[in-house]
Amino acid sequence: MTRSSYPTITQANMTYFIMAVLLLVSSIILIPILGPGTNLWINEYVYILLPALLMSRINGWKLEDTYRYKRISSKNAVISILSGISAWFFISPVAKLIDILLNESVGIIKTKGFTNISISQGLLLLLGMVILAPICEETLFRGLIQKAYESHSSKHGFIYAGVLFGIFHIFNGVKDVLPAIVLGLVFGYVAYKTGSIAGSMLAHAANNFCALVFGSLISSYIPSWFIFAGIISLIALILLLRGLKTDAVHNEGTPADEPTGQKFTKQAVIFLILSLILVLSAGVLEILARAGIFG
Amino acid sequence: MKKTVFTILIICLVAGIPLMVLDMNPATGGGLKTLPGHSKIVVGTNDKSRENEEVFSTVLKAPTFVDLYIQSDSKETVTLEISSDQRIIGKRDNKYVLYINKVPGNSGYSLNQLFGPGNLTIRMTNEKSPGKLDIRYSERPADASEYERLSKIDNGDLDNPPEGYYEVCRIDLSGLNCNEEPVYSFTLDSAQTIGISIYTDTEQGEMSVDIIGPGTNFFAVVNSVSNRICDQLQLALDKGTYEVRLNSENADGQLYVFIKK
Repeated sequence: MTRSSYPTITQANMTYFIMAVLLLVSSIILIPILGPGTNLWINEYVYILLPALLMSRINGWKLEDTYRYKRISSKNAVISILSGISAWFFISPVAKLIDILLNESVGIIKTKGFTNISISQGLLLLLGMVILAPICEETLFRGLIQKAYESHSSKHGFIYAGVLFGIFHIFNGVKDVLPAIVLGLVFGYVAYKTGSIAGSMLAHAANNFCALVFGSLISSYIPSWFIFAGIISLIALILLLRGLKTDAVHNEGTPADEPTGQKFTKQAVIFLILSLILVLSAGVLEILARAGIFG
Repeated sequence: MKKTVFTILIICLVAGIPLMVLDMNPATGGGLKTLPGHSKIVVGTNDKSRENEEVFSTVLKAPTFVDLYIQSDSKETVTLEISSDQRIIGKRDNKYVLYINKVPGNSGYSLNQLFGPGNLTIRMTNEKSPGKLDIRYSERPADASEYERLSKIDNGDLDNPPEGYYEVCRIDLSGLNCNEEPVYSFTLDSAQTIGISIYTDTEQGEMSVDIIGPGTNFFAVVNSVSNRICDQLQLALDKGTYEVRLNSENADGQLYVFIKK
């Protein structure tokens, strides 16, 4: 396989930056007009999936090879789903704990929010979270971005992509960044180990499904049994991830076969810095809003 | 796998687009909704601009609770002034001014207020722009003795809690400048519904009271400008510790907090 078959880090960072700008501006404008459900669908299809597919089309990348649209074994599929479930039970009390700490130490955001949403919006949110987000976000983050960073370091590419995935979730709130980084690392590791993003899509879907079904359990406080469940889930998650194997039956080539050593170009660093400035600005605004300095 | 993924994405679109259309359709999901039991006042904003023009007026013969639910699909912000002959209980003046923006789906602006006898008038200010304003109006009689009790509170006699409520906090606001200062806290060992009444007679400066708990926050349940009386607020709360927090700047008067568990 030639080098041009893979996205470069510059392309990945540029796509990440453009996606973040469009998604932020569009959401600010469209949520009040179209509602949160429709906005989620536009974000997933237009700003997250479309750029990845366009990049693939323009550069002539094969989705199967470059974005690892490959089948996985039943065993890896089951492990991926269980990993997604375990990850949720581990990260959700962490997210709640961070929220409580932010509320106590910085302050609470006083927002009006949506008092209620229609059934259609609710269904759109449900389908968007459980089906669209896993497919679209995994295509961008594990397909394009992780693949690009794996060309810099095949073993650690998933860490870069996982961190970018987590930071991107600052738009959901500062409290979600650290848990989303953990999720990004889990999904990235699943994709790296199996050589396919099918597993990470399944893990992502299972995780989001748990958030919808069990999220209300810790909406106001963390039950003591949930801490215990979180610790057990972390142990289970580590054991499950260790059980993942590269699907040699279905996939030609392994991560080790892919090119490594790609350098960070000046443009790549600039796009990364711009992206970080953008997303961190959103975080700073939230902190200022919590502190009552910014309305 | 590529085929499977794209099939799922296409099926999602086929299912999702009708949901989005349904949500935008006034007759089904979103848009302006019909509210049963309310009379309807619809004012188009596309015919002309208005400057404080009367769009609704009624005479309340006795103390009355008035429910207003307001939606707009006008592109421009519409200003509504809801005024009474008498000073509105809990307010420093006799009118509410609402700025109504276009709202999606089932969202809307609502106002539930006890008005004394006399004229109630709604006036509207708008720029000429496509769309309409939809006001749903309903009224129900208020208990005369309750109105009298609330009037006493409004006139500064704050020690008039409803039956079953007991005082938990009394604060002199004069010279007290604070931000999110806990003034009272309570702990629930299990989920339960509690009643809370908070009154202030502050006439100057700014003050507000928040109720902050684990995952459940109620902001500005009482504030110096538009709502100085929060009476018999029923809260269904999970177990945990809750704080009544005070924000005050150059305010005067007193603050009373009553609880019913």
